[in-house]
Amino acid sequence: MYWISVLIFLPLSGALIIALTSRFSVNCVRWLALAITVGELLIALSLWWSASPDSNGYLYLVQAPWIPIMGIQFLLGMDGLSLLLVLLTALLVPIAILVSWNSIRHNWPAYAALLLATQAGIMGVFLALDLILFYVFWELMLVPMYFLIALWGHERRLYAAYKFFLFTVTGSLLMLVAILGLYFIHGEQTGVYTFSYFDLLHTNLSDGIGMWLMLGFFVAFAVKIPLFPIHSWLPDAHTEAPTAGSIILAGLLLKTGAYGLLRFCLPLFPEASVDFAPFAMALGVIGILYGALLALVQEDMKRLIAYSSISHLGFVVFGIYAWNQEGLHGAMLLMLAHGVTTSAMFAIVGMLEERVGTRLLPRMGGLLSPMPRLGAMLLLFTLSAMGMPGLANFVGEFLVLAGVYQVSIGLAIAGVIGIVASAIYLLWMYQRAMLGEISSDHAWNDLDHREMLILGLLAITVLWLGLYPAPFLDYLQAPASVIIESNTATLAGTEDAFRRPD
Amino acid sequence: MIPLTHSLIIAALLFTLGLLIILLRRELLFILMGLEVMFNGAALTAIAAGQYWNNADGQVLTIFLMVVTAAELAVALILVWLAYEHFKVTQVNMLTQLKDDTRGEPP
Amino acid sequence: MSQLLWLIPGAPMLSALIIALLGGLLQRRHLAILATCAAAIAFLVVLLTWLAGAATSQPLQQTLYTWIAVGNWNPTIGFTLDRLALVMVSVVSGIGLLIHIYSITFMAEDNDQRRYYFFLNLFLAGMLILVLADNLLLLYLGWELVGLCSFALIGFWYREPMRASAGRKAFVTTRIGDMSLALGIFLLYSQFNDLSLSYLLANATAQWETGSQLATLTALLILGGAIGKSAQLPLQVWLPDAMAGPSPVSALIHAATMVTAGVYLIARTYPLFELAPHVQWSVAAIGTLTIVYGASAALAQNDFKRVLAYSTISQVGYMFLALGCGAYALALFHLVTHAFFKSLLFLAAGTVIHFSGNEHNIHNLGRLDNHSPLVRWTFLIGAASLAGFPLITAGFYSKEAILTATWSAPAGPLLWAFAAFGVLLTAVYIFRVYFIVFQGSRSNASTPSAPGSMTWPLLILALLSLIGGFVEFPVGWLAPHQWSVWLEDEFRLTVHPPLEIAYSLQFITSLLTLIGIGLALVLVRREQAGHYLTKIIFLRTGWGFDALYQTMLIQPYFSLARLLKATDALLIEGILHKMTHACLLLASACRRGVEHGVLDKSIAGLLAGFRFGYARLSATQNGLLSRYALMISMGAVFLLSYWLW
Repeated sequence: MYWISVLIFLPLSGALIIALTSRFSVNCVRWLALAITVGELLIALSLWWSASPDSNGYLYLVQAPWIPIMGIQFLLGMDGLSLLLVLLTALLVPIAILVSWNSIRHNWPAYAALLLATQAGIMGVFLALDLILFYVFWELMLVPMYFLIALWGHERRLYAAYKFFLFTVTGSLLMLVAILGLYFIHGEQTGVYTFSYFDLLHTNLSDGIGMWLMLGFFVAFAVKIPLFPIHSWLPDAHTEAPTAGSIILAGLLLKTGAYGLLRFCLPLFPEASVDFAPFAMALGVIGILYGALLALVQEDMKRLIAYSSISHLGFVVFGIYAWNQEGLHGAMLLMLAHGVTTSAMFAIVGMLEERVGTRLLPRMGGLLSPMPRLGAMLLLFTLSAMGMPGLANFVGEFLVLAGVYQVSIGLAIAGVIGIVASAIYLLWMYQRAMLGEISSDHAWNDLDHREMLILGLLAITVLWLGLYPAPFLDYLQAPASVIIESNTATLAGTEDAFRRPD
Repeated sequence: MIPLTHSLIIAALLFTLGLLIILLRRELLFILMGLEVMFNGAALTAIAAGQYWNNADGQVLTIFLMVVTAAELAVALILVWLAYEHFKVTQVNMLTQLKDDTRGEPP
Repeated sequence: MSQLLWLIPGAPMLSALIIALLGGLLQRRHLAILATCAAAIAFLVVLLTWLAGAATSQPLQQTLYTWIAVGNWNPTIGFTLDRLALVMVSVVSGIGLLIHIYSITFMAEDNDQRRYYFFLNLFLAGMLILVLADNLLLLYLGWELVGLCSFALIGFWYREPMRASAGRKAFVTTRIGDMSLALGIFLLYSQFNDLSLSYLLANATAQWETGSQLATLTALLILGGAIGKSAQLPLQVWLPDAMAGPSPVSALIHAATMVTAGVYLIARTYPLFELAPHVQWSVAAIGTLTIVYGASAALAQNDFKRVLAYSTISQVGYMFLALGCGAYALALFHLVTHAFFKSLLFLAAGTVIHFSGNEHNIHNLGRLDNHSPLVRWTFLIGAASLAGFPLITAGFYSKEAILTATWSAPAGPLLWAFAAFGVLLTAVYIFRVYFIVFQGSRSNASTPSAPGSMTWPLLILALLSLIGGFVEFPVGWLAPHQWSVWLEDEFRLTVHPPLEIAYSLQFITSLLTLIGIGLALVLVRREQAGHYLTKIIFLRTGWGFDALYQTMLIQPYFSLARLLKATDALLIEGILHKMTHACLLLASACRRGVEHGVLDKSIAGLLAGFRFGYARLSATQNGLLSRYALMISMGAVFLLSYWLW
């Protein structure tokens, strides 16, 4: 049971050890960090192994008092959705370390410590069920990420880091206000002042207040996702971050936003969310088309992938607010798929940049001939990103659109156009980078063993998610039906949709 | 059983004594000592009040205060040492880096 | 027997996997042999199912595993082999095997065989999955998979940007159609909550009324998918450019199998089309238009393979016409014969081009004069079959059947007239090519002899192009009609016009073919005199569709993207940065206004007061710690005393 707190404290203590003992050699730090994250992955896998898929609600729950006077607990819980996102986190962080193996040249101890601290924060976000605890982890993952971008990024790293920080902090402060508002309203109603998720689920909110509190949460999550008008931090942050930073940003940080919507926004404020759903879906569809169009005219490969992330996360929001069986399953699965696919694409761009020395598409071309393995891998993940059946993203996108279709045909058509658009910009990117006549006769090395290991792991995951997603979908059944119940409870006017799992 | 007023008077004396040390002495180290004395005065109040109300919170607060004071003192001593390293002074009157430049224009 | 079904797509899939993972360890030649063996295994399993009596028995079924599980919806990876699928599987695996054999020699010199055979095997697997799928989702998987392989193989020689772009164009254009199909799938799913084909078709027929809105919409959306894949108007633009790929690929993917996937899809879901008569009629109309479009555009091409590409567009149009008239069995019949003679034509053309140093222009090829007689004869057989030369070719029987069936459809005579005009054009364009390329050809000692692995497929296909039609003789003939009888269980029987009309129709079309061949001779004379048909730009550019789409769709799309990029920059730089900047400007403007404006003097006194106060207050900030401490304690004392009072 207590293993899920180990998931948070293992990387945290690893980060402290690496940061405080400056005696290790660079090599030693790299291996130590890798060992810690691989240990983390093993723990996550064994948790997956020992969890029984048909148990209701939460697979694991940890509860300990923290600041009882204010009703703050150390409350962690893992349901199917958390489990899969924890697995994704545990998979991507060792990959981020492997990707940085040679490309980070200075101050490895600090780098590794920050990476591990970010992992601890993300794990905490996916597991925390006490709202203050959640807020603490939410900020904890932000600060090391800021330093990762600001210290090891590319040319305009400081600008990007500030922008990232300002956008996110503004959002999360609004969330803090909303958390406190919810806390006091619940306290006044019941006399029990608590930040526990399960207790707050029963809060009765009047329409106006519920909408405002929901918006506080929504803005914080929408910044992270990111939705259309507040997306502008993302291309800069993704482009300027080091490769590992981009992987963590795109693969994990964006998912925390969508996770927040699923875990907090919808269940805590079902009435307000139902009212808000059309607007959220409109934002989602704008994000899909806007991201797809802008990705077409980008010249920086990382920027292109960043805009494609906006487009894909639009599908996730789409599925979440479609609020039915297919939509929610699809959104959750698409979160996993996008995490793996986009991370792999960022990793490949990083590898290309190490070799060719540029990320600009006009200065590439014909790279398939010197680097066939890299080209094949890029093709695989590109295809996955544009929703090729049999690869990861397809199942998610298909389910999302099947769900959205039941809500609104027009939106489904717009989403389908987004998929066509994704084929246009991704193939155009692939052609400009890989096909055509090679521009220089420089001898480039193809992928080495370390890089093949990274991409091979991700490729297996992508194929697995695409060809046999049933094991993952099994775990999503329970969380999805809880959220759907909250909607039907809203419609039916009953309040008792949530029962404390024990 | 010591009456509350006695303890409070002692505490007030301690506090005033500490304050006077800070105001009158010029040595950095003495100022730190004065701070400590003031802390002790506050801590004494807490203990006395705790005894008076039959509540453990006062003692908890005192222990907490001791820990924090120790930590603060460690930092402060390092700062004093750094000030000595940097400016070669131990007199607080020489440390007037924050003095406003009156000749300048308003910002 | 049904336990072996998975092996049909499984063998090429496994071989593709082996090539992808371990291909680096194998020699080039072994790669080719491995891939060919996989195709052979698939073909053998199909033969086995024939021998085991699949042709007469109930459909075979096999379910491998549950793919996706959401709620009560559990689409599986499962296969069904009924008669329709049996026909398709036989064609795909058979032609696939021949093309693999042909490729062994054709691609022997290429350095990138691993990629070639990987995608070729993957294509075969995808196509077989498409055909065997028992639910629409799996069908969609195969559908996209063949699109991918088509993209990769068209752009196989990717170093030339033109070829790479052609691949991309094919993929994106077909994807537009695919999305229409996807929407159709969503619609069916939202109505029936299941995608199993048998369940869907049975329930749709039971629940929907003929001509109802839902049925019409579904049929339209599925038709959109079929149009994209089968290169019918208006999504046909990708196929001529797709000829950038190697010739065997053109023969397999862009003639025999993938482009007929749309025909298969409509035949598979035909009950939906019967529920929507308007859509079904538009299938026929699109088919007819495409026949004329393809045939007329093929007239004015100089590139050997482009002629064949436009010819494919036009021939698939005949299949659509048959589908639209409800003659599903005949559409399938033409699909089979077309697969024979069109892949024969492509392979023959490929051989000619291959041995003439990659020369594509037919006039230049005609001047070369040294084509081997085998190629010449097989091409002639293919051309005759394509043109529908009466009695002795397979193409004659299949085309004849379709034309006769057209007459009884709504507006049948009109459709028939267009289709018959297409027959005339077909004979003209294909014999124009034949005469230009082969007329002056003499076999002499310098003729390069093609090796066995290239000639055998040609010979087999030539034979099939001749005798393949004898399974179904035209209406009213005292000869067997095995094909339509055999497929009777699958589809409803075709309606025929009265016998006397049928006879006269058959006579007219046969005559048209012969006239066409004659016309071709005349035209070739004129061309050799310098009156090139390619001067008709409207026809040469395929009715100007490319230019139209370029100005109507592609340019606006890119301009929109650029516009958004500019506004996005405006959004960040413009709003955020300019806002900060504006605040600064405002502040400095105010300051200037205050200091130098009209209010200067009245404010000067206040300013002086502030300056004075500032100077006095500034004196208190002396940096002396004890003075500060004194102030703090005085403040504290003051506040405390105020509070205690």
